[in-house]
Amino acid sequence: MRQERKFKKRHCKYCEMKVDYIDYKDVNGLKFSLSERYKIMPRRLTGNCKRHQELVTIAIKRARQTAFIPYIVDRKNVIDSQF
Amino acid sequence: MNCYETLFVVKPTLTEQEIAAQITKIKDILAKVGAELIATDDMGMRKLAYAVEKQSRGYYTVLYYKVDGSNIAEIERNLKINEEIIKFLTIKYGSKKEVAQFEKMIASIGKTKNERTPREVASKKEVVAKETQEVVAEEVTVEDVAVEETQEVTE
Repeated sequence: MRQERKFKKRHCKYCEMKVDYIDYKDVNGLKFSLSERYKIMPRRLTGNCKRHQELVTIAIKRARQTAFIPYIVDRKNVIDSQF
Repeated sequence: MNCYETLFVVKPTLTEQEIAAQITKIKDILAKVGAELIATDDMGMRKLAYAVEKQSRGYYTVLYYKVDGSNIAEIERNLKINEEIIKFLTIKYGSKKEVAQFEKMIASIGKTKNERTPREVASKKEVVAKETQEVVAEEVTVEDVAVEETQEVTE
């Protein structure tokens, strides 16, 4: 419920900024579409359009591959998974 | 000739000179293959989000270059062999939009860092200043209380 309130406005912020490509190295930019446990947030909560959600997904998966973002945050990793 | 970007992470256990040597080694490989190196972005020592080969930190470097696609396999093979490199990722910028972004990123390599650092420093300074002010204020109040107490005692 808290997350739903956080994303109340239903419009794609990337469309407003006219973004054509999302860089996987920009971790702070990706954080918008990540949950507290670094899961990819669904479109119905972030309001991203389908085109940009696909770009975000690719960027997040690349960031995970290069250890910019953790794959999972569990009890073991939760303490030392800060940027 | 396509636009490519390679990111690789060097082990943190090496000294600065050894890390620089590794980076030049990769650049030599690119030159040997016939790649046109456009820009390099040193991201420096960063904390990894998860342990890779038992290391919790790594030295990130990004190379932007143009090569024929057939040579990418050779570059990746060399990165794979090298034991000092713990992670690498190569990305192709194919479509027009992607190439436009590629050029944008190259243009913004130096700028973003210079813009960010003074702001961060300034914000940190402000925070420190606020904290010191608060501490001073607290001390003043404590002194006042102490003075009052002493006065009461004397009376």
